[in-house]
Amino acid sequence: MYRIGIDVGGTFTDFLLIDEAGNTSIYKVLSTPEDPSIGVINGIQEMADEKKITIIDFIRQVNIIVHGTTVTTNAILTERGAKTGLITTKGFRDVLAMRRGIKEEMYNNKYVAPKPLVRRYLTRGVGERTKVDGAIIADLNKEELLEAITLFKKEKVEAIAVCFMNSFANPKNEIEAGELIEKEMPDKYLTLSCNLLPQIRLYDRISTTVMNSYVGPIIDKYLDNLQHKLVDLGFDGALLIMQSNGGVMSPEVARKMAASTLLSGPAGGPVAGMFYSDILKFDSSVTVDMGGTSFDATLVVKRLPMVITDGQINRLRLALPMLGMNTIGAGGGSIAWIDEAGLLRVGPQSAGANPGPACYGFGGSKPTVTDANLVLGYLNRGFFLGGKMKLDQGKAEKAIEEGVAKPLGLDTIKAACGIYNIINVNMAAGIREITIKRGVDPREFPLIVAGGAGPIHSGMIASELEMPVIIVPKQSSIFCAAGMLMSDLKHDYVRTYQVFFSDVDKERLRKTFEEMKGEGIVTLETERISKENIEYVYTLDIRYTGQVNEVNVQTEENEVEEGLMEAIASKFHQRHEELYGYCTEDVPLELINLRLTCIGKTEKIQFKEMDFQGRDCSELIKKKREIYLEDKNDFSEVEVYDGEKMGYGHSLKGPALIEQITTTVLVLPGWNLTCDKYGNYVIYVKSKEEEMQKRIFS
Amino acid sequence: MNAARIDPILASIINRRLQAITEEMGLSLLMSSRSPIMFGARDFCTGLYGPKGEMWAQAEYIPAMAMAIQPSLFYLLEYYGDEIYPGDAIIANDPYCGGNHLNDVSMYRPIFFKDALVGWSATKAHQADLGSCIQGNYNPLAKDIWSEALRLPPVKVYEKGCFRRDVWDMIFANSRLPFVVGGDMKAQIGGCVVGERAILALVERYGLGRLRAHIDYILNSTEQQMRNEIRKYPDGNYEGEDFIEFDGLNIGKRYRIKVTVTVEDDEITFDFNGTDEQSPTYCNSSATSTKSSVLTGLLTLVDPYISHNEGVLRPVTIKIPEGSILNPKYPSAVAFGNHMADQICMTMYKALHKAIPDKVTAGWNFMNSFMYGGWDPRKKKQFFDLGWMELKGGGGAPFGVDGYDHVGSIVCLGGVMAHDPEIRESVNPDLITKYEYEQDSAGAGEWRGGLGSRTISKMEGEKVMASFFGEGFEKGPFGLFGGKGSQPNSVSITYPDGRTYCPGSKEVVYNLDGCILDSFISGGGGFGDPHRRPVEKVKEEVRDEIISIKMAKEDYGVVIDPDTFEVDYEKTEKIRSSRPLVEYPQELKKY
Repeated sequence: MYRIGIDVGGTFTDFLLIDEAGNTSIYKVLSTPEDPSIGVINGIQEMADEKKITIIDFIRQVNIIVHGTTVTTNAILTERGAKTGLITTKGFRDVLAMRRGIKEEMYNNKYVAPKPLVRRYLTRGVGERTKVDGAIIADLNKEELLEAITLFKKEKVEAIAVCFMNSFANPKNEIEAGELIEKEMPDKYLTLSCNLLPQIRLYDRISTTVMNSYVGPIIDKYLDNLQHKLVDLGFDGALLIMQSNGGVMSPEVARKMAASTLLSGPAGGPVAGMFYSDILKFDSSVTVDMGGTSFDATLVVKRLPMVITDGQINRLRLALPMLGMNTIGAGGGSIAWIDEAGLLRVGPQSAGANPGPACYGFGGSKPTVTDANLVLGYLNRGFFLGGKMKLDQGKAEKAIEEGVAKPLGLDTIKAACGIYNIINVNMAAGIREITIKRGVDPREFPLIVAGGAGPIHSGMIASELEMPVIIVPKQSSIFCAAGMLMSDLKHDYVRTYQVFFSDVDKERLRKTFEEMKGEGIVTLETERISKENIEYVYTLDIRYTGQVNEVNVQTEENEVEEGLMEAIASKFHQRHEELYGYCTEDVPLELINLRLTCIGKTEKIQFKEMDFQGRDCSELIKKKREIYLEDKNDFSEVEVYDGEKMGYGHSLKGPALIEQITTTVLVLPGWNLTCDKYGNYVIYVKSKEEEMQKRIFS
Repeated sequence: MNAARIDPILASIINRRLQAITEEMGLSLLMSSRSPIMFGARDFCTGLYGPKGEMWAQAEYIPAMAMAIQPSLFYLLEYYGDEIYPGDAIIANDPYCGGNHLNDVSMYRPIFFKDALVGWSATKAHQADLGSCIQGNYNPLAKDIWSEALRLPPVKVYEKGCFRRDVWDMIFANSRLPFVVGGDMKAQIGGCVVGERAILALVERYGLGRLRAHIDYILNSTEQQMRNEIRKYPDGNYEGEDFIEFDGLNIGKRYRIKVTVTVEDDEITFDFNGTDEQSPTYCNSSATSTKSSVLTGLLTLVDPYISHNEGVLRPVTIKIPEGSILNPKYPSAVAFGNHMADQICMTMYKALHKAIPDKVTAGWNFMNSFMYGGWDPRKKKQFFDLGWMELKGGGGAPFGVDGYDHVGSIVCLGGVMAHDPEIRESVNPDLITKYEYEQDSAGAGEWRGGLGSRTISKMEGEKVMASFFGEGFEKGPFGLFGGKGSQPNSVSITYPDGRTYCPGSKEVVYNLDGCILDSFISGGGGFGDPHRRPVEKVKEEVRDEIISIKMAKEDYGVVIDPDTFEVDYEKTEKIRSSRPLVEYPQELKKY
């Protein structure tokens, strides 16, 4: 039997096929944006062709397909979602557009706010009111709702969102409105805020509910197409959809929780990161993906991908749990420029693929990161994409000379070095956003580097953040697809139990978690996960009395089972001090929310282990090349290894370069490299030699 | 190693890092504070400064306050001389020691590396209450600074790492909300510590000499950039004036604010000679408030991405006659001064609109809000807050895009947030019945002003009082180059028995239990002749009920059928061709 991981991207759809013995193969087909399911089937066809069997015979041998998709993300980015109508409480019509009155670029008199996903005339306030304590002081005005429905019908609205003031405290009016809409417009996509996100903050809830309806019909139609095509072919295995929080879900859940697929594409990243760091017995990691225009960074702490609830998609608020991914405009195509103060900046503008970096020779004249990498000798002009594309060193030099060196009064090399350093610092800052800024110290974490452009820069990024270990997966192009096959089913539960620490009813604490556990078990059983394969993560939202924002503190099972409040309190004080620079142990604590994440462990794919190839790989040295090394302030000759032939055990010392067709790895002076049993490159600071050898070979 | 050798690349890196540190400090305040003024609205700022007080970087959620962190730092440096030690934390709020007004309390922490003073981290926040006869300390009838709140010249609350409990307790013996304000000042110290840790990490990394040399380089580069920006302005003298309509006491008396802006090559001077004498009430802007308002306004008229550090300040001179409403003599009251930034900035925009028409905007909304508090019977405790939703009026339109909707006053520039309606009802005993854009509130123009809004809420607390503070109740924001102005602000109170009362723009009102407060805050002024606005845009906004059919016709000259929302092109053409378009100045015609 086979499993398939599918990552549908904007340009390519990547497939990872793996059999029970752990043999893997990779496929890549062009995406078909008008109906992405066509591309998916094309890829499966290609697999069958290669096996010289019919697609029908092949698909019967597939028991799991895990699927990440960007259809919903693209709908938001291109403003091509469903025509959506919004029903809200009378008097609160503009909460979505107002965005709490924030202007992101404060001093820019010409800054324009993002356009709301629903037009104002399709946002209708209806009479009804619930107070913040849940008391209903006005029943739903059905006549006003019917008027709005009439308008929606006339305007051919395709999806509807309902979000009433304080419905998180009592959803009765919202549910009634939902029933009436369902009756009147039964075939339209409908989201009620109380089902999607029953928590306080009207703006967060409206924005998230609207986004869900806006992309709902799109994912619904897409999954419908895909499921039909698969069923027609005779597929009777499980189709699972990657969700933004790094877990997977069934297509039925995905259709209802459409907005939770908005990061479905890249969500496989951290899970894959977890797999690669697992091999070396690390339980936390930072995963980065550097492409041509953007750089994504995600975080795993203690085997859990970092999930946030204060995220945005395209400047629009999305309050559902999603991976804490930080995307910045930094990539191989990022353009270097001099700002008006005469300081060098790199990005966020990118030369993209066309005209691309100057050295591509497609007419680009602006200096980019790729040009700097070529000038510094890190890229091989004759071996880019394995030699399929020639790079023009002269054009790269000229662009850097004109754009950076002359204005700053530096020589070309120093200028190229500046571009290289600035982009590295920008990327390091992107990692800092999701680690240090959120109170996580990355200094003991491995940095896992995906994407073709990443491994030239990872050494400097790791140095900047004092991260001692870098892992470059052998096949980084299918990184996300691999992550999908390794993802578990994941469901999050929350209960509010607002009480002073001193008054906590330990029995209630225990029982509430018990109750959430029960719900998790039932849901996961319907997804064919048995009890013994479920893991639980217990966290509590706690604050000092008088504060409004809580700190989420992870606890042990026994601490909540036995109500060990003092142990929990000391964890909170410590966390508060780390995050905010102080703690006040004399102020009483308040418990706010109890959170449980239930993880249904799926059977993980096993990659095939390589045989030990010996340590010495000196015969894989292709040649030597001059590259710029900052610590020497000059060019030095380093050895260039043939990465395509490297395998388990091969070791070398920096400075060195490794060339593969799709990527180049730069090993800096002071760093050593050893290949692990799957052929991944593990690069670490010299002082960690002994520890890393143990991790790699034990 | 030669410390003075500058690596321009490292300078870029350090500059970026300094900015990020101030944001990390801000996050600490936002997440750990207790007053809705801080966690809900972000009415605070953070900054990093050199050993002599030179500005390195700031996070300016409320710009007019941010520019007021530095003057008290200068004062305390002078005051303490050598008596600054590692582990100190110094609090200050007094306008006569460099502060802006008493509610905005600064906390300063010196950063030492071994024995050397590296610099300062500072936070400044609007604290909810520091005594006096009016909760929240906005007292229109205050005759002097002592009637406003507790004055704090620089005082150490930590010395050499030791907490000074006696000083702390003395301060909070003077607040109605010691638990909230005390907690929030601890959060301010926490924010400073976050900054201190991060700066020390930079020192360890790059070395003190190298860090200092590179920061100097950054400040000098920014100065050059600022000078280049000013050089883009045509040389000359430009005059503008605006008025404060009401001082809170003397009905009918108004105060002129006058500025002469002189641009000479790469330097700019703002001279407020000709501004009226100080008022006898709290309606005075301290010298710090005035300077900070001028800088806020000026920074909206240069490259918005320029770094905000000492370099931007150097080419700017600000002259304010002593004893005027913009630089009152000791011991005048000054609480309302922060909000006079609206008029100060508008005076500057008016002065410069012909010189740099593509940079200024039409008039912004003037302040209209209240501080209120009382007893929350649900929680059985005092509550206190500000009308954050109420103050979100529209921004003035610039050349090229519409004004920013529901952004609030120009002193906040959209950095301060309105409360989420559910959070407001949860922290205050209010029932909000309306919080929406107001139709036709935006001044018409080829680019319309930002939309104003109306907020209506019922006060369900007990012993509720409010100190209303606002301006622009007589005259709304102005339009530019044929663009129209917008309506004035207004407030009304409806009592449970149906009677109504309209308070003045600055007035304390007691006994609001069960009352309904209805606040309208204006939109911004429009830019350019409204007849130039594309018909389709007008049609769309009529459909969206942002402008009425009447306004479409009267201001925009677009005739729309009320039933079908279709445009009558013939009638539209007739109206639009009935008069010539208002011309733009030469500078704008090139676009």
